[in-house]
Amino acid sequence: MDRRQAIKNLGLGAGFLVVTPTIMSLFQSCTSEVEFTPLFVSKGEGHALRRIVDLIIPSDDVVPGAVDVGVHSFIDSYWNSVITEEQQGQVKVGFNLLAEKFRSTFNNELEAGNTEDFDQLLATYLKTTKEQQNAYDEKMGEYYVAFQNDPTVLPDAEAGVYSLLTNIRSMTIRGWKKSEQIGENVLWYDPIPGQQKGCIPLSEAGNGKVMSL
Amino acid sequence: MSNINKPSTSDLYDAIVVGSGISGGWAAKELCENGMKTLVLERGRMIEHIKDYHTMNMDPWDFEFKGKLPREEKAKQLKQDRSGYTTNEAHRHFFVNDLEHPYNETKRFDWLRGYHVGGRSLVWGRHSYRWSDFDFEANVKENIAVDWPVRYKDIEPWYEKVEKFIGVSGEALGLPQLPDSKFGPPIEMNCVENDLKENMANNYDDGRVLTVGRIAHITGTESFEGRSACQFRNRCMRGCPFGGYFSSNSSTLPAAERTGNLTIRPFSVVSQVMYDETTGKASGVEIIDAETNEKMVFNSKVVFLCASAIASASILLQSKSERFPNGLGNDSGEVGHNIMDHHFKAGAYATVNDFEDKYYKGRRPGGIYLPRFRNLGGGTDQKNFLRGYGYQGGASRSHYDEMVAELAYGKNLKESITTPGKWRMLLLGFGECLPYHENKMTLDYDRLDGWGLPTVTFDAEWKENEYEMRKDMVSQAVEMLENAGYDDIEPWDDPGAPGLGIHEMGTARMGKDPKTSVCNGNNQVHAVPNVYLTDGAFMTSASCVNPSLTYMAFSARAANHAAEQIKKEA
Repeated sequence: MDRRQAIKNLGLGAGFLVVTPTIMSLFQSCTSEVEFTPLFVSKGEGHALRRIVDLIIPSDDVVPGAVDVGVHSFIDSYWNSVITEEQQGQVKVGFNLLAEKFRSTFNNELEAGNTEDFDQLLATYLKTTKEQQNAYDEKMGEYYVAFQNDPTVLPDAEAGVYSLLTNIRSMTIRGWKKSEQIGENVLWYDPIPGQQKGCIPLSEAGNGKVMSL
Repeated sequence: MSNINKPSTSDLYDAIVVGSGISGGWAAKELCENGMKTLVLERGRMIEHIKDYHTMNMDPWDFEFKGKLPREEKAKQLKQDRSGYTTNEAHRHFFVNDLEHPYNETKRFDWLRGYHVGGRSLVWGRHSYRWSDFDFEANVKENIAVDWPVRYKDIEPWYEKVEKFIGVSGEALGLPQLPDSKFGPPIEMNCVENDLKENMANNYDDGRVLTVGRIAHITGTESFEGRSACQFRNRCMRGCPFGGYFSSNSSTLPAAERTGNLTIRPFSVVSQVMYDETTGKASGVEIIDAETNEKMVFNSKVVFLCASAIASASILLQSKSERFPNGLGNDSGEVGHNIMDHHFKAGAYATVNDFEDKYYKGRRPGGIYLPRFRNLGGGTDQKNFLRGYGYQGGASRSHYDEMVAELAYGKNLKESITTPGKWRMLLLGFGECLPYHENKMTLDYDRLDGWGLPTVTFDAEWKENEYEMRKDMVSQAVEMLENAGYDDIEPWDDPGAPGLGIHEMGTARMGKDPKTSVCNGNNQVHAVPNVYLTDGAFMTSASCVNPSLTYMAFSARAANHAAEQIKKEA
């Protein structure tokens, strides 16, 4: 992992980076897992987020995975700085429901969960039928309506977990595709096309990859 | 524009142009090229072509949140954000800070605008269509509002002049409702769009055709001073380092500057047009320096109001005198009334389960166009609504992240999202809005802005004709996509509120009779003929096509008229 990537994993834009001895020591220990200190979620939730993000887009020998390009840290800082306070509350509720589910299923806390546990959870909620997904979405729709009148109301527990996981999934896809490493080196990076061709064989267009911009 | 001359309050300019957007830029260019010493007053900051486009080469990963604004920043632009795209970090600096520039809404109105040199010419949609006499004659034929004092033949040469200078790419079709111009090479449509075009040719005999959008981009080998051909980056709203599309900053203001007759003063908030009771003419304008709050007066032989429809009407309403207690040129009482915009977000989406082995190169900076095909006579006439609409939109392949079990997460998902997703086709209608006297803006003197000027209050809404038209916009889009055999067709109808089309117009309409209109067929205020209105304010009706090309043609025509008058009187 290069220095630039390490900075990204810390969730800090270069402009805000203050190089302290602690950060320097992280650069030096890049061979082991870079410590993730979340800004918005708790340490235990951050542990879960990182493993979930890693399962959604895993690393392999050729193409970096979502954690490699700092997506877990991007999602955490996005929740911290971009979404509304109401949405922040809903993310927190989602993690509480996830933690309860985790306890009831594995008799364990989120921070102690291992990859296999989270894989089992993701399979339960994401590898479902369209009908089941629609049913969850409907329940969440009812929750958002009720929330407008009473912000203390809670969503259906199952639908709440599903909603958090699909939210993480779509943000992981977005964060990964819009990362420099993937956008420039894996997808079809064509910053100045110079010309436009309306209809060409896919094989002649970016080697079959989708445009990154 | 590196040399900004220091304007002098003691000089007499030939012309003052208020606003530097698409209309002001054209007025300035034509006045300067006619030898007129011209002062352009812009309320916002200077934006120099290329030099001040600080995001023009940035990629998504260069923005901290991939383009989204942090909560505290977004809070400064909540009204500008109503479009859903204007406040992306890549170009949000070309839209105003709502906290510094507030307005009021009796009814919701989305007033999206930018205060800087170049105005919205930097961020416009660039679709450029001529009007026809179907548009100019509609009011009088249907006995709606007032008649235009202008017909197509009057404005046709000015369209040609403007198009030649800005460069418009597109396809000539020979349609009476959408006159052709001399186009640069059309940008190619993609496989799905061509498929839909063929389908429409087989399924419809009412004259409807699908073509590529006519947009103000350089696509051929013809040379344009200071500009080069479009590179298909589709990052237009950030300002283009190639000058691939037309803007005041890339084109008209540099042309005006080359004459040596241009002076441009940023940070100049025009508070009123000065009226001279003895001559019965305007003598200049009063400004407030946006940075120092200092008031000063600049004098000129003519004044061009090109501040945008709402701001120009505000300036007229603020310009009170003994002769004009209700605002300069407002004998008719029509200033601020008849606000129009285009209603849109009515149409349909479809998925196209074909052409999976086809893609495209380049990011096209415009889409398709399906010209108006309703109420053009004969079998095209409709019972339920007047006027017509056109469709924009297009087909594309974006990412593939449908959540089916095998692609829910993991290795398979990772592979699939690196390839283009399914084709999706959108037909997005843009409909004409009728002029209604009661759709209006007024000034609120109890709520002042940071410069002590009254704020604008909007009271406008869509009415029955627009809602009836929207039903047809949706049903025809669905039908065309169905006839083409596409799947998962989703109708779309989100009327929102006026303003979101960012085509606000009509607040100081043109007409033959001073009792019922504000300016004449030369864009001169009836009672104060050395004041010209050439932004959206003068529009007597709205047509269904994007308006900027028409503002430019009328601005050029009015500026040449004004220059002739000045030369005659010299």
